[in-house]
Amino acid sequence: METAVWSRRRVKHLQEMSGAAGKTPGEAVITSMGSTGPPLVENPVFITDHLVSDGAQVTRPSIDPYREPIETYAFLAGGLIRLSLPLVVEERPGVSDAVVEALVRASYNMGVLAYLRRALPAGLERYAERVVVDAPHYEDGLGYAGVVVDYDSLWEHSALRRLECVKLLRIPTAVSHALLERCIAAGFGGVVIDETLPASRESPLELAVSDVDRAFKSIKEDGEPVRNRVSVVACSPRIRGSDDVFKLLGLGADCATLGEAMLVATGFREGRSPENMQELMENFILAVQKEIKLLAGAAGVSCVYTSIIGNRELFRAIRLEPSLRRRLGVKPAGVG
Amino acid sequence: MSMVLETPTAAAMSRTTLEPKMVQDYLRIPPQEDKEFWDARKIEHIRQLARFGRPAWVWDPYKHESNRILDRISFLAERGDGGELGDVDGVSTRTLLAYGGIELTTPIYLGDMSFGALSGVPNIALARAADITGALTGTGEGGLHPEVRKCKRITVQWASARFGVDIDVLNTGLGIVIKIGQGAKPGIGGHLPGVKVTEPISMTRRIPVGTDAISPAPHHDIYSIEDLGQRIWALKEATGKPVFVKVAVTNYITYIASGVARMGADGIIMDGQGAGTGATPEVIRDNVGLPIEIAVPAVDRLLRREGLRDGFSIIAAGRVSSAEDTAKLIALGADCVSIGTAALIGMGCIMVHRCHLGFCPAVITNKITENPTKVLSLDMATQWTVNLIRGWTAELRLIMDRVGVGSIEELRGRRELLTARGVDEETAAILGVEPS
Repeated sequence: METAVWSRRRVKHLQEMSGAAGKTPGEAVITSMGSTGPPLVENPVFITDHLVSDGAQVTRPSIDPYREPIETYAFLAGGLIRLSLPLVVEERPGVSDAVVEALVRASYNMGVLAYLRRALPAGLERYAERVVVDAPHYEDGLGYAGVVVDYDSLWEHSALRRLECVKLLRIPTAVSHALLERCIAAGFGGVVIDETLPASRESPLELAVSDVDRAFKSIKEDGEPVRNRVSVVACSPRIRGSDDVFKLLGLGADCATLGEAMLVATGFREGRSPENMQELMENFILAVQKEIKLLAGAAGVSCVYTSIIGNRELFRAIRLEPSLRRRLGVKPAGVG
Repeated sequence: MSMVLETPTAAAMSRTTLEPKMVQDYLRIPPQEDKEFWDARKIEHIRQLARFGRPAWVWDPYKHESNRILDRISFLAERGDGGELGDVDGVSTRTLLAYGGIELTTPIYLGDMSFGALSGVPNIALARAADITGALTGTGEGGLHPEVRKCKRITVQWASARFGVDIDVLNTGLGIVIKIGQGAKPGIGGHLPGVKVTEPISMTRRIPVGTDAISPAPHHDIYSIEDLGQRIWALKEATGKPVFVKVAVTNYITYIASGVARMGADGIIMDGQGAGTGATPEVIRDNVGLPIEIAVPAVDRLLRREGLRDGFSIIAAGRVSSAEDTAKLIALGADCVSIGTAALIGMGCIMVHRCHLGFCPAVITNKITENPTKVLSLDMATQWTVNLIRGWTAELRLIMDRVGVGSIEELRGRRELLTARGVDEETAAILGVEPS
């Protein structure tokens, strides 16, 4: 199944996190000798491949996640949803009810959100508080954490205004300021920037996340920026692991989806459908948390939610086209 | 030499354990399934230097195929294959470090690799090779192997866990390295997996057998430049030796280097992205840290501007793979380079990235056991390393001759001798090199 996105090395890494391979499930993956990663050895595929995170040293201390606490919680929609980790596990096409069940249970147990493109399978109602669902499958009274409405049906869902749950608007990566303002006016608690929408072809996810984050900081409501109550969820099947998640947070996302990566991690994409799918998923989410803690701690950050989200200064760009780099608001490597 | 097993002698048969097989030849280079900086051609070039101790080429003919920024940089003087490989007159590679306190015959520092990460024989070979050639070797965190301790041209390391450090160790060698960070894991402490903490390592590091030795990420007595200054001066007071500070190349490297120089250190070892390690979290290795070629000119410029550059040493580390890399990094502003991975390749490393598991096919980073089935020949490993340094230095002399400089001082910071192709203007400006 090796592709440019899912390199052999990436697949091995993800499967070691879940325990589908290796002997240390639920841990940050250890390796040795020098990096073979992009952009200096492997060819870069995405903007995230050009971004380097900071390592704190001397002028400020790094934080040691093996010995010191690092907070990874995140809030969505101004605090209406609390996550243990800035992660939404997205249902991918072509999976069985059994996989969805494992995904829902694992998300619930690990304190993250599951994002379903189908109604919650029967018998799983008690997990609804950790599930957001696409609007056509939404059912009142089940206690869903939230509902995701497509941007092109924004006006058909005026009835959703009355709902108690969090409403998220699914938007493409190419998005107008006017649409974001309508999203605010319609009472949405956030946007899901979905790179798979047909209108997303023109613009990469990284740029959209950064632009939308800044747009919400510029839109005011009663004199206050709406950004604090409106969340940005970065959604794409090509978000490959904790490194991509971490970089999308730094560019302005409150959380990111890992759907395809989790299926790869469990071996499902290689045709395996193990009985302990839920266990593999939980291991994987735990390992993602540990890797995010390592990245945050290395950068001297003790709280992801307060200090990583939108912190473009945390990164430097290597061999990234200068106009793209400037639009993201990231400095080039070598500039202090 | 072939790799056939020796026929067991009657004496060997009568013993309960067999003599370990002595490894004194290189393994076949396995096919590399993933893209790798240290590809078969680089390994072959290093092996050629290590076998014969003579130059193999003047200019690296393959450099433009790599994604590395340093490989986009060339000397303007590069013409064809560079001509004859015979020795040249009027070129000296003598290098002064630490305000003249340490003199090297060649601008080569053998990277800080610990006893534990390496399995003993390679540590001794590196230290002996430095003594024989007049280079310098770092010894890494975790205390000194008794045979390494007998060597003169070593530095000792003072790292965040203080493994194996006492006043006698600090007084051994030519200088002390305060290890703050390393290129393979910026912001993370040293990591020796429990599988490699066997009895001898347990004794040296004073930790229980089988437990991970994970050094704290920060030094808990160094939370600022001022703290660092106090530690530098305490070590100087105690020993009278030069003190170097080793850091990873990270986003604010210029400010860090300026602080290190301002606080009285004698030099900085800057370890760039891509540097080797015995164990590191992959997510950190691949996403944190900048390449050395970006840091060297930026730091050199800033230190000159601040009046801190004269006498202070910049040692450049991380993917230094050849004499040409060495010459380019010195022209970008370094005094000396650090060679780690290349030195291991010279001893037989085939880059299978298994150091953290303790089963090294080349018996360089394997765990130390009482009854090993094979061991690296110390004589051979020492000879390979000596040859590597000599061949590398000979190639450096050829490059200096073609470029038209007679000494390392004459080459240092001469960015106008270089040209960069295929880099954007922004990057060229940071490098201080004219794009071609």
